[in-house]
Amino acid sequence: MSDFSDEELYRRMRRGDQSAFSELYERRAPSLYRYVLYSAGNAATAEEVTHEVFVQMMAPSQDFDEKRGSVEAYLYGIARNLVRTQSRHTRRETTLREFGQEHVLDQSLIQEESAAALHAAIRELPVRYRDAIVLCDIEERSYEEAARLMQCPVGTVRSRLSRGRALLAAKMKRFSQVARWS
Amino acid sequence: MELESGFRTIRNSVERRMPPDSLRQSLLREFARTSRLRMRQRIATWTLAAAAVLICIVAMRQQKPAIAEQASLQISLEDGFQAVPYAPALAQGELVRLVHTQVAPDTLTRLGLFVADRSSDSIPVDLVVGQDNAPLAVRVDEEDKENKDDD
Repeated sequence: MSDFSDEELYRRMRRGDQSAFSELYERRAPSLYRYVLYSAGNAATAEEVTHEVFVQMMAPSQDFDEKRGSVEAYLYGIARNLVRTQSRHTRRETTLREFGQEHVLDQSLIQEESAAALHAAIRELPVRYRDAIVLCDIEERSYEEAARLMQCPVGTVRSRLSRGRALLAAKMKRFSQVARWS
Repeated sequence: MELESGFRTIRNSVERRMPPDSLRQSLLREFARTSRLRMRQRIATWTLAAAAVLICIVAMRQQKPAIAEQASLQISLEDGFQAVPYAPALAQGELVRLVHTQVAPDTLTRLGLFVADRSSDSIPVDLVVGQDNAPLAVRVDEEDKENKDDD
């Protein structure tokens, strides 16, 4: 890995430097892939969206403006819009079982179901709250970092996080009531 | 269930997952394709620009002889030619032709030129004509006229 910043790698990539593109991919693709995995909930979508983010980045018509933020925030912005479009189109309800079978590994059955339900609840949140939860609570990024990626003030991140947690808590309360009854 | 422990479970189950290598390979192929396309566009742009510059240079070179023609016309006017009164001025870059012909003395008079000898039916002249064939200057070809008179 070189010492070049993302922005320098981006400039080199635009001039046709394939190694710069490759390095930018190595740096940013894993976290983007996981971000989509947390937000959309399935590997196929995560793969598809990650692919599309990088294709859009290299498209001749697209141009990143350094004054508006970092390359990372730019990539997250594209990913966020793609996830939003994707979830609008495929608004399918992922069952708790689907998620449990695919992802939850080390927990007892009830906890698996709870985690799966929580993840389903996160995916159903409006994008602004979901982003705050995914970046701060799951990926454990700082408020400042989340604000940079969400391209909004830190205060907004805090309030969205608080509102998102409240919505999740309410959903999980309903889930535990249903689980107790069934 | 505590939200915090749920977040941890989700994090633990996802944090080691990586995009498949096939994705990287596919993007590198896409990048190579896009780069080739961009390079072709760049070459086309430069070719067009070079062609435009070349056309400008050729056009400028073609204008130069016309200017030289104008200059020689002025020299010729000092050399026995009479300018036709009220003839339209030469346009920038307009080419002129020198035509040797016979004209009736009346024709020259109608053009506003002085003709000393009106005895013959036609007079040999050198005419400078513009691109619209309008006469701009006239010179009576004395040598030809004398030969004609001798006959």
